Amino acid sequence: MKGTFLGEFEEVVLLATCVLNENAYANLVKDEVEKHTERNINLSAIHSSLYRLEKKGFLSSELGEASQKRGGKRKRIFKPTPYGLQAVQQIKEIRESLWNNMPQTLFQNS
Amino acid sequence: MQQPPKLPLKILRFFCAEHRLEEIEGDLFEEFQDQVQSYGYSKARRLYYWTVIRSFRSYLFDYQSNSTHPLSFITMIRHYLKTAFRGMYKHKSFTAINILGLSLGLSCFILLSLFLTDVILKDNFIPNRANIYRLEVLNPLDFTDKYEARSHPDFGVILNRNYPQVENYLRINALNENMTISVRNGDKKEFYKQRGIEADTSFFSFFPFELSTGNQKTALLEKHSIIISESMATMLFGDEDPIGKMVYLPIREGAAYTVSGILKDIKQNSSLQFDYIVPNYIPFDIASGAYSLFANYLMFSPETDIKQITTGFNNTIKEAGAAKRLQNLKYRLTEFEEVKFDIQSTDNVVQTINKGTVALIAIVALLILILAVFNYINLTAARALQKGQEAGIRKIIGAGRGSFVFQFFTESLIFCIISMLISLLVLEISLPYFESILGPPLHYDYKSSFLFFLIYFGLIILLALLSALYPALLVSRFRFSEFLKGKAMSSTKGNMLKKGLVVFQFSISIILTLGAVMVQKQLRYIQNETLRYNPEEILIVERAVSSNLDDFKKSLIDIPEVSLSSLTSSPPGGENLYASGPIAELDIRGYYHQIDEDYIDMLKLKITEGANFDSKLTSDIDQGVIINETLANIIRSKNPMNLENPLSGQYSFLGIPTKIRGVIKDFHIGSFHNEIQPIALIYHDFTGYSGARVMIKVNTTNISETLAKIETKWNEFIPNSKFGVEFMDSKFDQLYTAETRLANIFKLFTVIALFISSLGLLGLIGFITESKIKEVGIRKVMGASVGQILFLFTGQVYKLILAACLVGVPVAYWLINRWLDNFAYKTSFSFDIVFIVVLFMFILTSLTIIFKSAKAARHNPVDALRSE
Repeated sequence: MKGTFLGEFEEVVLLATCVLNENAYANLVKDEVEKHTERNINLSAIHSSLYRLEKKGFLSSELGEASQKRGGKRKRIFKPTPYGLQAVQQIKEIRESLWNNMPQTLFQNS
Repeated sequence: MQQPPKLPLKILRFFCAEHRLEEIEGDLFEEFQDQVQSYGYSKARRLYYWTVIRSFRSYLFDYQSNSTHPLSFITMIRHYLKTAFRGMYKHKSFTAINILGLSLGLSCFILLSLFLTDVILKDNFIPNRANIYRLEVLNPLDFTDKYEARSHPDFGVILNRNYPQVENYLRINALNENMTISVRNGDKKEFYKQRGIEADTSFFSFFPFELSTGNQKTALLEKHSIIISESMATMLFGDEDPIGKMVYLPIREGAAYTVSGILKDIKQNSSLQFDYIVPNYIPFDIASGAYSLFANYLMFSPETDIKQITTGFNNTIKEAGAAKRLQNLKYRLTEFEEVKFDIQSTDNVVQTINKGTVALIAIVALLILILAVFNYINLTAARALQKGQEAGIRKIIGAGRGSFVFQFFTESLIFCIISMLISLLVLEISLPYFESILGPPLHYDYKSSFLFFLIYFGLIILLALLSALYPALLVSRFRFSEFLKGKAMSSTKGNMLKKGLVVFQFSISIILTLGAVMVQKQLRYIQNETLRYNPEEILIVERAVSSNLDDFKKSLIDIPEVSLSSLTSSPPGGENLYASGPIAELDIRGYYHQIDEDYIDMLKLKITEGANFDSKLTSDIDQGVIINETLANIIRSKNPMNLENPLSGQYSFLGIPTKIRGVIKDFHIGSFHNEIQPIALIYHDFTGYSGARVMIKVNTTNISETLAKIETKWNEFIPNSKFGVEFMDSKFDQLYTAETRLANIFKLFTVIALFISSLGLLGLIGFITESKIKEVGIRKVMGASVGQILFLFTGQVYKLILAACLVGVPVAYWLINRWLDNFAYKTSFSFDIVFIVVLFMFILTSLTIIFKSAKAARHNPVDALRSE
């Protein structure tokens, strides 16, 4: 966990990119995140996160094909780097180990 | 397929980094198509706009290093900012010195500028002020070249009648400040002292002061009406409605005046300050030589040729049937904006500001700013050379002159903005203190003025640019190999300018120090004459009118603490006068003061000829008059009766031929700014019904008890007048507030200037010692002592200080003499002071140098040399 600083939103974006498996580009990531979080998100926020994650080394990217639907512009496909995969796994482990230690009584009343 | 709106796309295309544009544009396009399908075109359009606006985030500006985008310099700025902050952090003492000096300089500059702004903006609420002129006259017979601000009140009327260009006239006069006004409260009479003026009904069309109640046009029409200020109304009548109430003035036979209007309290930004106005109704005849003096203000139509028009005035006045004395006058028109700076001719209505003081404040403000900026430039340049290797590498990579300028500009901007923020903080904290030493509180509210911050910020940017230019040019002049070899640091290139700046800084410090000392000296000179008679021991009782004045004075002998007392019309320390009038034989105006036999003893005046008045001879004018030397000299030089001893003749003082009893040395009744007038002292025994002030010399050890005793006597003899008392020295203080203030300003800012210069020197010496560290090491190995090494550093700097003295002293001499010209009586610029100041400079710099370089001199040479 040392050194990996992921904000809540960044984490969701990173996870969504993993979920989309080799297909992830900004619009799809946005739909995915919106679907799971039920939040309305601006495309620019997704762009911002994707580029930042790439800079931090969690994602790598390459240009994909152009299409009529995109006004003839190519898209940038993002995929998680091994480091990125390691990071999401670590996060999961940390959360799980925390959950395992959660006192059972805490949620019974609610 | 729908196309997205063009405008946001264009904006996006312009700002977006090239390598990101395609994908982002595509993403946006795709989203737009989706949204057209789900929400329809118009909402999709709105959303598209919104997304573009939201896209202005850092990724959009992430230009690559080979980018040709017009905004790609942003990346460079980021880089510069980073290196700048790193450098600042690494050289903490340099950063501290630099920011301290700059923010101190900026604080002073901005503070003084605020006060100057206040002066500049004064009276800007008067819309017609550019067309308002004051008529001033000079009587060639008056033995003076000073134009009188107050003249015959009929002049305004006549000129208004004869010249179509004169649209309106206003005659205005300040009432005696010491006059007590009264109101009746039941059976009791309450007395107050307020500042009053009498003016024509046209007053408000000249000076549009607002009335909270009453009509500007009609409030002064009634002969016995009075307009009072809101605060005066509260003072006089409390919460009652003041309109229609009576106010009693002792002028014009103690008439009762009906309040007809309430004036909103006058703000600080007005040159006219008063509490009440009464109409001016007494008709004056131009044919009569007897008149009271009024300031004549004239409103001209905008295109009037002011220079041309005055030439005809004398004829016009003469043709109107003027009295003989008024037939041959010179006329001058002074613009209202100038009137307030005219300290020579004052009309007592418009408050004057000493232009010399204002100019001096402006000079000091500018000097301190220059000082701080030079300091900054010098330090930055020195450091720029020190970090030469960085510059060398930049040069290899291809940095040109422009890029160096830009780098230094970014750096300067950081320093300047930090200093600016600090200075604003300092301003906020210290303003109340400065207001107390600089004078009345500021009217100009800088905090709510957007313009102030705009100008200040503009100034900061300009400053940053200017101070970046020199170090950048200096650095770009070297070849990179020179940097890498470390030659630049010890190079003599740019040394001339660097030294020049130090010389300049110290010249400024010398000018300021000399200025401070000389202002002090002039103040002391002024005080010296008065110190002879210890004004702090002399009480002045307010003017009272009574037939018991003499009895009161005589009864004071019973009080052991009172050593002497005197009745007079004119105690020193104010514009007091008994009367003034022409002395026919001499063609001059004489100024008369009523005194008793103790006046001369009280003020320790020196009688050079003749004798003091004799109290045993009662009759006033038969005793003759005692004149001052100024008048005696005029009589001697004119000698109208061709007498062997001109002083033995009789001259018509106060219109009656009178002999001269004695001559006294000149002394100041009024301010030192004014020439000493030809004065004749007239004896009066004050036994009958008469008005006078009492001067009482007291022992101040038990002053409150003594005052109580005097007051008891006063109430016993003069029960109908209030007992108001003041020490004479406080009267003098009021007279010279401007000078005292100036002295305070100078003292404070000189200290700051010296501090800034020393900071600069400190920084510079720091760099010199660092660049000479090896030289010092080698010298030490060869056996140089600490003293010899200190001399190595001091020798250089002494030369600079000497040069600074050669520049600073003459400039200071010139400037100070200009200021001293404000005084009719002044001290002189003396060279022992110059010597002391120069010596002080040398001591100060020596201390600075030793402080900084002693460490280098005591260093172990091994540390300095082993790295090679």
